[in-house]
Parts: sequence; structure tokens; C-alpha cells
Amino acid sequence: MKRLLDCDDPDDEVVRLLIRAGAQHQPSPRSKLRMIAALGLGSAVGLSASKVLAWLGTSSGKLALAVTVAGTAAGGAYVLTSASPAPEASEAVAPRSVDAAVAPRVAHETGLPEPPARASSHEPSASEPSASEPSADALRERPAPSRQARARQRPQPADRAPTPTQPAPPPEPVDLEASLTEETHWVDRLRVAAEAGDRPSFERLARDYGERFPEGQLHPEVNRLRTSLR
Amino acid sequence: MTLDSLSTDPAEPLLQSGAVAGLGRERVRKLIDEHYAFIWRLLARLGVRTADVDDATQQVFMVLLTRERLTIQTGSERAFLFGTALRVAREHRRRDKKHAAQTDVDFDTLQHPGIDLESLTDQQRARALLDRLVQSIPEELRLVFILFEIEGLPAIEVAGLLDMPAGTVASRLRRARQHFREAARQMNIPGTLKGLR
Repeated sequence: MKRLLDCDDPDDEVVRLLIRAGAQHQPSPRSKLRMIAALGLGSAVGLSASKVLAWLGTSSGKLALAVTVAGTAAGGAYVLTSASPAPEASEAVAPRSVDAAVAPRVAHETGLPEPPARASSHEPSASEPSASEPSADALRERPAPSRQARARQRPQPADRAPTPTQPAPPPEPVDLEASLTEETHWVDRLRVAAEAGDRPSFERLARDYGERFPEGQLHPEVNRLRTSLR
Repeated sequence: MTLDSLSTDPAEPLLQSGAVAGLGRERVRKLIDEHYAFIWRLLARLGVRTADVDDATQQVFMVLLTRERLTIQTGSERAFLFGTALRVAREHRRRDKKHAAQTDVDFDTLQHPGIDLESLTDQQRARALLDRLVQSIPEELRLVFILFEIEGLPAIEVAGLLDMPAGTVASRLRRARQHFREAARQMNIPGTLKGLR
């Protein structure tokens, strides 16, 4: 049976135009992402916590974990020794408080990396030394910069921090897709807190989410989770 | 099978205990990836308002997660979602009959790369006209037309989805086309769609 779209009858030209318009109608990727978040299916790879733990129990899992930890530590040390970002800049985008018990669980469940903002809010405990920080010995061994080098490192007028009287820089254009992906991470974490019945963590995360995304796409989902918590 | 003959759960015959051991998150996610666009477009063509199509689609897939002891025969997933979508669409139409024909414009939900604004507008006008014409097709013929002509499904699959013989699909399609052509002719469309030519 031949479709109207495949016919070449000139009398059906308008009919074909209309059918083609219907056939080409596509939902936006954003609407699909929104639904996936709303249904709690944020895990792009579909890894459940139990499967992750089971995999970590295998020798290959342990090896991968060891390599990941070592790589992270080395990378962190390199970043800290090669560049020290202004704390104000990272503070501006970081959620102020993140439940340390909730976030790793989400990372396991979703199988996705945690939001980048979380890294700056992570505080290492005092009892265990952080592998990402340079040791005091390493700092002492670092040669003192020469006078010329110090002169080069001296901040230029353009590098100086803006004074309070200066107007705020215009907001950078937002990558909608990336923003929605990050929002989805936040909603995943909120969902875990809600499912655990952990109201304080939920409220903290919800407040941080609201501050991070005042015009967020997933506020209705957050409200729905809050309702489910009651 | 007509739209309103589905007063009970249309997917009930497809549900067979023990066919598949429940729907896990991974399977639901896979079904979303495979069938989201089909269900979304189907709901749009079945008279659900543009502003409600996202919600209606979510309702359809929500069934996969919320229904207890749900099992779907392997290979019948599309049929299950199709039946659920018909029911959801009917509920939406019943809720808001005055918007049965989708005529509102929503730029956000349209993805059509490589087309200029004028043509985009024409695309939306074309879809609005298409929906009006589709609604003018008698109900018992409408689904055959949508599935075969717009969704491009093979006739045998249409017959399977609608649970009718292939010969019936062919005869209904023939009649549906006649209705569609006649309605299009009466609407004097060509002058309004220059941008699509």
C-alpha cells in the first residue's frame, strides 16, 4: 500500500504538505529531559546503587576505584599547586551546604558525576589528611620567586578585584541544555533526601537549588517532592 | 477499535502475568527513548492541546512506573503505550473539548532545524490545518489515517495496534483519504501555505 507522501499525484500536493508537516513534528529534547527528571529516571546509564556496590566488590571494580582515587588525588594536587582560584568566585556558584550523606548516594544511583558546584563545598575532615592538598614540606621546598617573577605576578589594574562601587558584570549567556542537566542532578539529590524522609537535608538542598536556579525549569518538580515529603 | 470504544483499559489484553518480570527503571528508560516522540506526536494529533502534550505524554509513561504488578508482553510495548495514549488523549479531550483542534502556537515545542522563521510559521499553520482536517475524519477511520499516513507505520503494524484485519485497515484508509482530500479541497488551502512549497 502506497502512502500519500510517496505519491506524485499533483492533486495531492497540498495534502502531502500537510502530512509532511505532521510527520516532521518533533518534541523538544528539553521536554523529554523534563519528563525523565519528573519520573525520577535521571540515571542516564541506569546504574542502581546496589549494582554499583556489587561491581565495586569485584576485582576489576576495586582496581578501577583505586585508579580513580589516585587519579583524582593527583589531579587535585596539580590544580591546587598550579592555580589558586579566587574563593569568592567558587563560592558564588557553589551551594552553601550539601548533605554529605545524600550526595554520594545520588552519585551512585544516577551513575552521573555530581554537579561541579559541589566540589567547592566539600570540606575535608580534620582527622584525615586530604590527598588533594599540597603538604607543608612541598610548600617549603618550592623555590622563592625572583624579583622579576614577583613583578610579573603583581596584579595588573585589569586583574584587580572590582570595587563595591563598580557595576556587576552582565550575566553570561546560559547554556540551557547544560543548565537543565545540572538541575536534573539537583532534583535527583532532592528526591533521595525526600525518599529518605530527611527533611532538614531536603530543605537545605531546596534552598540552595532555589538560589542557584531562581528561574529554574524544575521548580514544579521540587514542589512536588516537597509535597510528597509531608 | 475506535477512540471511544476504549472506555476500559485498552492495554488490558496485552497485560499477561508472568510475561515479563515487572518494569524496572532501565526498561522504562529504554521505552522512553524508543517511543517518546511517537507518543508525543500521537497525542498532539489526537486533539490534546499543545500546552498539555508534554503532561499527557508524561501521564502515559507514568503508568509504567506507578501501576502495580504491571507486566507487558515482550514486543507489545508500543501497543501498550499506544493504548494508554488513546485513553489519556480521550481524558484530555473530555476535559477541554473546546480545544479539540490544536490551533495554538508553541515555538518551544517545535524542533525543525534549517528552516527560516517564515517557513516555521507556515509549518505551524500547516499542522493546525492538518489537525483540523484529521478531526474532520470520522472517528473510526481517524486512527488508521494517523498511524499509516502521518506516523508512517506499515499497514500490518497498524492492523496489529488496532486489532483488526489488514483488509479492514486498507478499506478504512481509503475512506479516510477521501474524507481528508475533500475537507482539504473545501478549505482552499494552497494560498495559505506558500512558505512550504
